[in-house]
Amino acid sequence: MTIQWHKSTCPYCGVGCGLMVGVEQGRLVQVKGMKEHPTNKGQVCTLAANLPAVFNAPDRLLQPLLRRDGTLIPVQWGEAVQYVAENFKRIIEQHGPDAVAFYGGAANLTEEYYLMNKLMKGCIGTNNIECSTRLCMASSAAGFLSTLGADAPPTCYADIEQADLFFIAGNNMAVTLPIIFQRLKKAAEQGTKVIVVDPRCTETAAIADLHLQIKPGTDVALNNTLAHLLLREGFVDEENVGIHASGLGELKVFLEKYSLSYGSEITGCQEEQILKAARLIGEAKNMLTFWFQGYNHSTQAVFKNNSLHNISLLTDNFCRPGAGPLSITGEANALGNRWVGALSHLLPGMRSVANPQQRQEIADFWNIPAERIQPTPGRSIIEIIQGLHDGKIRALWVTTTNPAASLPDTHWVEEGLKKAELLVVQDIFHPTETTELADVVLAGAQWCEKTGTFISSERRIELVEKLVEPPGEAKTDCEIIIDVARAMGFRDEFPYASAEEIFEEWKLLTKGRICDMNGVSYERLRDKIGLQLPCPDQDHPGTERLFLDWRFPRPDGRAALLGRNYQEPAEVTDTDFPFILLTGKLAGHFNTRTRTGRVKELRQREPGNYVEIHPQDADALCMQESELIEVVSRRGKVYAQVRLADKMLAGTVYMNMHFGNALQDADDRLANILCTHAIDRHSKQPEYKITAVRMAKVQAESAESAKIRAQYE
Amino acid sequence: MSEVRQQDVDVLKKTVKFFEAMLAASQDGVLITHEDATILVANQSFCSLFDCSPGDMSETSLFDWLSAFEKDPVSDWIALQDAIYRKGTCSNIEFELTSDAVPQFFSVNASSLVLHAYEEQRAIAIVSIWRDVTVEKNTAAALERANIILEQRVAERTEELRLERDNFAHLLRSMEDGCYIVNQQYDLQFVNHALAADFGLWQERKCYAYFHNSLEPCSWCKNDQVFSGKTVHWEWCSKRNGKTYDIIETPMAGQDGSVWKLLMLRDITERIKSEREKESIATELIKAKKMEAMGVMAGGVAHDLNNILTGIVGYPELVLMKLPQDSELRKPVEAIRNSGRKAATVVADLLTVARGAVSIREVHNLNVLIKEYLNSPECEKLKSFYPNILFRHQLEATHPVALCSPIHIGKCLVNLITNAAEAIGSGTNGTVVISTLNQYVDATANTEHMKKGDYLILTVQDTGPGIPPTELEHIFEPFYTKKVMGRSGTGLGLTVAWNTMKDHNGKILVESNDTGTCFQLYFPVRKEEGCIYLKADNVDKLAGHGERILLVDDEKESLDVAREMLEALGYTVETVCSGEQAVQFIKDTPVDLIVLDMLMEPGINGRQTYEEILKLHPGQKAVIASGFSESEDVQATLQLGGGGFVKKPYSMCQLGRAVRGALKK
Repeated sequence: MTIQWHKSTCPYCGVGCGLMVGVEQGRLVQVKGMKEHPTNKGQVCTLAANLPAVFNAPDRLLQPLLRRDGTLIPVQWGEAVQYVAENFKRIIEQHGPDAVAFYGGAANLTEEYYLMNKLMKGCIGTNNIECSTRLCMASSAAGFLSTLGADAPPTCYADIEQADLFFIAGNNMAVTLPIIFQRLKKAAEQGTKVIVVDPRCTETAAIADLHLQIKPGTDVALNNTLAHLLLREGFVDEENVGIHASGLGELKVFLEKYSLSYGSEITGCQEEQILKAARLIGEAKNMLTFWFQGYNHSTQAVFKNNSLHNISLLTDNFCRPGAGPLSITGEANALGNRWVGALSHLLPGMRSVANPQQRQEIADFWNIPAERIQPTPGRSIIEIIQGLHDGKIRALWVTTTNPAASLPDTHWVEEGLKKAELLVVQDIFHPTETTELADVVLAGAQWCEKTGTFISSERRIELVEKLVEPPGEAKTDCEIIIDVARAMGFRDEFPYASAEEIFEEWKLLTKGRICDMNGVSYERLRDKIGLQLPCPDQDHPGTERLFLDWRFPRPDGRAALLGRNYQEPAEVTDTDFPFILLTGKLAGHFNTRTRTGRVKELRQREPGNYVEIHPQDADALCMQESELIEVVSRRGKVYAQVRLADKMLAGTVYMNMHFGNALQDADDRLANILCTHAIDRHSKQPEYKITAVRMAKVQAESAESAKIRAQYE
Repeated sequence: MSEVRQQDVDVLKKTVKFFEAMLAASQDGVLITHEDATILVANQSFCSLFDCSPGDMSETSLFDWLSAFEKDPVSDWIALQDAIYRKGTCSNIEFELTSDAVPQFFSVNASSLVLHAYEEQRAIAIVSIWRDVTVEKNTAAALERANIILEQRVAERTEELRLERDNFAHLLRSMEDGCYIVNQQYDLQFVNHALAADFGLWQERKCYAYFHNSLEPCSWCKNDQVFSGKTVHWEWCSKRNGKTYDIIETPMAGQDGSVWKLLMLRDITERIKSEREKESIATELIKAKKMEAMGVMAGGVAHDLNNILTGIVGYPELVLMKLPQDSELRKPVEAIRNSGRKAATVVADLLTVARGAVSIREVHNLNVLIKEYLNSPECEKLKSFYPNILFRHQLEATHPVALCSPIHIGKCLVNLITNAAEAIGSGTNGTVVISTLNQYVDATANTEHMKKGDYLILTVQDTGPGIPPTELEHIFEPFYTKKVMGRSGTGLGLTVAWNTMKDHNGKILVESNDTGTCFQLYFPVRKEEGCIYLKADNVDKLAGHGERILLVDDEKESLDVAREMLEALGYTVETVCSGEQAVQFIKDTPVDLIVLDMLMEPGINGRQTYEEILKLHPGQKAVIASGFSESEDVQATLQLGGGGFVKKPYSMCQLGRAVRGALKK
């Protein structure tokens, strides 16, 4: 029996690497990079390379579980679906539609979110539907929306090779996006200048021509200072900028206060370095900007995006090959989910619940009364957890994500989830931190066990097809959603027999929109490289870059220059909590390790959590390399091993985020326990990145710390 | 770029600058939002509300800013937007932005604006002007609160007043005292029901006209005193209705701010009358006691004298029998005897005066008694003394029968007629009229405290000179006489008459003036007495012998009459006022006969009662009394063996006969 090879797309990050998947006797046996794919050209990262192991991992859910007398026991699908549908209906009847909520992962297929959106916003009548992209790219989306008038990432990966300057801020691409980073590194070797802005001296900073090691959370001040300097130094063709961007006059006035000395004082960067950065930008012909959670995990996330885009707009680094903002999402289908309206303020097809015209369009399309769709945004995920605490939210349905480990302020989140009258969790593994709290666990299918589309960060729509059967009685997420919707009485609204039918319906809603995919069909995508949207008709080759005509979807057709003020983070240091904790990820793990933690090779690379401390701070605290210490914030305490790292700024420490308790005995290693759930006003994205902590040596050898120590040793 | 185009651009730039300056200078918040609530323009004044700059707000969602406030202003904005879609504009919409429970209030004017946006798509923008009215609102709110409290108080007070007014009106309406209010110009302001009932409609009338039919203020008007602040208390007898009022006049604050006068009038007519009655009763009582005392004394004296006189009257007779006809002693002894007889008469009168002496009660015809006297030798003798006097009688009483003591009545007649003749005297012509009549005396009309009812009146009237008022009140006292002692009377004549009437439960009245004197003797009568009298022969036949009779009737008066009749006939009588009580009574106490009313309410009727009683005492004798002899119940009851029937109303004879007949069965 020979291996059958099929084209697919990587289910991990949002780069969207083309993969070839080898199936033998109905089993997924091998994964390799697709050589022809323009994104990765046959390259794969360690996560993708280890995908086959996920299919052989333990703990796979084979049938639904229902909690009876405190214990989750296997039940038949009929019973589980009936239970979920009846309790949803009951709670909606008793407490109204806003008492229920849905929260899914950004790795869910677009088709799945289309169904869930229709069920929640169209049938039930609540906007409480959220996606983990809220934790990832919500601020990028809001940044694009405010600057450009639409959540439309304008650039593509091909710009990497055309740029002569990379401005990389808050993004340790070497770890987070290794395949793309390889392309950047190659370009840098060929002369492209690199500016890295990061409080840590990261692997990415290692390739930089200039590393601005700024104080955490001060990006708005840095960007404004850079803009100030660019204007002052004459790098801005003001006449020209005025044609494609509005607000230059106000911006210039606004930027007056962001002088070099002021910017230097706030960011902690030397004036010469900032000036040097400004001149590098000013002199660059094609600047490509990259940013990531260093920006987005912040209460000023949207303003960081806006102020970064200001620089691109001022220096004419927009809408040309090799120039502009290149936003790369953290999960495979984050952009697809944004466009299908997976967030509480959105409607399918880049529409907004707040827009009456757009509500009407969707209502007409779904053949429901327009009043069914509520005019105000629903709850963001943090607000949903708050709602569970307040008793306003009584039922929550979670798919493909793990909020009990992934949300900040974990104890608060757990407490909220425990208050739910009904917690339904749909996943492929059990236990996860969230399935352990569930009343019902629904056994879903994973990548290659189901069919649907991903949209990558360069707007490339890719078909990922079912290549193997889900194990046991596990069902595809579409099937489960349809079953529950029908059991709730929405039979006519959910007539779909296949994912393709769903896609054909949904794509009609993209007509005339920037995400227009009416030229796309499963047939056109099958075993081929995906198409970049918009792709309005069958002959359309797809669109590499947006806004090449300099017309933006804002009322005056121009992009907006926005004078955003710098504000301090929600949490600042004080004598009790004198350090800033930054969090990040490891190359070998993904999010809360639901998949990667079950792959032996990946797990062994970095089995436990550590805390990176500047040697100077460690000295002051008399802490030694590898010493187990307590890291304490206003919300909780975790244990971690000391790692002395002079790449840190003094006063800041770093931990990785992945280590929840589902795959280990110890409770207190998850960095999110420490984080605040303060959110950005506009994007509702939590400020994971900035947490005030103190560190302490483990005093008495408690049983708990002994256990943890034992694990490390 | 052509020169003309450049000029256009310059003009445009200037215009834009002008507008920008205007926006910046505006104290009101100016906000332009896209219809999806994205902020397109926000001026500094608006941004200051959110502690940020226009750059911070631009291109963000207004919801992001509003949702930071309490009380869901996002929904308010949606409502405002809906209003704009419906009406195009909306003004003075109140917006509340509350943070940490501190509210800021805005008055928002908003209208829609069509933008020609990206790719010629039309988009709706909303221009809103936000005026901070927190200070005004707080002031207004304080005012409003004050107003609400005030209004509440006014409402409460109004309600109180309304209640008070209603109570007061009710009080004025329901009270029996009169009440009116008048101003200084005598204009009536208010007259309550009690007065209006007596004096009629009062509106727009002067008080003197209203109360006195007068054209000018009364001479006794108390205005001067009352309007100088005094309260005046006096009594007034209205000639209009004969009522006497006790009046309190007091000044009061009038509705027009001037001083008015409130008068409270209490009708004290009855009180005065009863006071006067009490007074006269007291006088009479004193008189009666005096008379009684004298009677007791006289009685005692008379008894002793009677014993003494027995010798004085008796022995001369014996002595005279033994004395020869020519004896010189005969004349003095005869004198002793005559004096003794005279003394005996006096004593006899004295004995009459003694209370309780009138013991014999017989039914007599007064007309007959009077005629007998007028034809008696005694009266002939009197007539012969007074040839100048015409003695007439007018015996008009159709029912002249009374229970009385004929001896005493005779004495009264003698005394009164003699007195009348003597009053006229022998020198002048005159008339003495003796008359009888029946009269019903109404309790309200008589001033002499007589019980209401039928009376037989015997009147003796003379045409003499009359009795002076000073003497009138003493004439019934013993030994009070103007006459020369020994000449005609004993000085006890009128006392005897007074006492006689007292013993007959009657009354003696006297009226006198210069045209003569009139004595009236009131005898109370009962119709049945006639029956007894007329059938006097049969009374014995009807009389009972102490047989026990139970009277059953639901009407108390019927019971009382029947009881008196049967008791008079010599029966032992018990009464009950319902069938049920009768059955109960019979159960414990057997009787010889039941007199049973047929119709009784409520409860069981005569027939049912009799049926019940027969169960207890078969053969119980009974007389059925009913107004309807033909009724089925009566017939049925009689068939039960009831024995007797008497039709109501019945006389004593009829009842007696029925009872006697039933008992004999």
